[in-house]
Amino acid sequence: MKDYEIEKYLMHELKVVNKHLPQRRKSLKELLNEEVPHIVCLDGTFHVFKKSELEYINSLITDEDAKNLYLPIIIESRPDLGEGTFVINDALGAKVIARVLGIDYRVPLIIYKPQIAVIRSKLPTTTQYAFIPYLST
Amino acid sequence: MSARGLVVRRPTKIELIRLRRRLKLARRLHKMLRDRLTILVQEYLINLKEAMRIREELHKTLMNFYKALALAHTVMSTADFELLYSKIKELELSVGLRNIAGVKALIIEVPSEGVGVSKVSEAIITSYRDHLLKVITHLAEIESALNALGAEVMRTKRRVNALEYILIPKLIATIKYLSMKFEEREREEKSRLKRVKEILTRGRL
Repeated sequence: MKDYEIEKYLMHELKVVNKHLPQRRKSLKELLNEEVPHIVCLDGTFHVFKKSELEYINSLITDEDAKNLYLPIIIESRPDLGEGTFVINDALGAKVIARVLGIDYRVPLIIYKPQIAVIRSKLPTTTQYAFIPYLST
Repeated sequence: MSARGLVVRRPTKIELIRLRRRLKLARRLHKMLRDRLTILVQEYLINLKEAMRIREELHKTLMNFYKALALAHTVMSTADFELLYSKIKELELSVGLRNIAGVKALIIEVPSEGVGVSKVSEAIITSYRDHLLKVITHLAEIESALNALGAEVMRTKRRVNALEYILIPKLIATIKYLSMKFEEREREEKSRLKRVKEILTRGRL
């Protein structure tokens, strides 16, 4: 394979690295009313939520918040803040994550690798990673 | 590490600027892929831990189930057992896909009421069936995710290594080669100018 082919192939990765993010997020209330709660990703595939997880999140927040909480909760990977650092910018999402972890609630909520392991094992379908490109190198 | 540079058709300043831009992009991509790799490995470890826990639980549940089955064998006749097996319904599962940082993995859910064995079956067996089905489907879900994640980790690792050990060093070597070439050209130009100046001053004298 020639050099420019390798390069082209690798640069394609930059375009598809966030293809798993949703086209449109849905509110918790909306998802609870669906028979198969799902969203469509940017690459056109479906991402299905576990009903048990949705009910668990619903038990953590009020009815009003359930209408305004949009899922999946996006966890942004921010290595510019330090390796293994993640940020949740969504206010209600941060509230849910803070309650699950039992930590103080603040926006943006900054969490670290060990906390991510807890979150991802408790909420594997209702949270999603986003890779933020470096603005400066 | 490959120290050989890239093939440059024309060693021009424009080419050097282009190469620097490519290097910047390659470094950015390398960092991003490395982050992705870290996340994927972390997800893999989370799933691995969960798979081990569920497998242990499955063994325990199966052990209890077999004990109960053996007990049922002692009190039920063969005809009763055949009747019991004939009444086993088809299992209905809801299956979908979930996305773990770009990796598609199965999601399997068992409807909570009345599946698998019919209600006519003996209470001794039905007491375990729901739990057993839940554990088996959860294990299938986790292990399929493990396979998908493992394949993706290998794929991403190859890309990270290609960038780290081939593309970026090649770009650096080419940039270094071009910069040295331009510096050499500049030095040559300077000495040529000096020589011309000398000739001109000698001519004037």
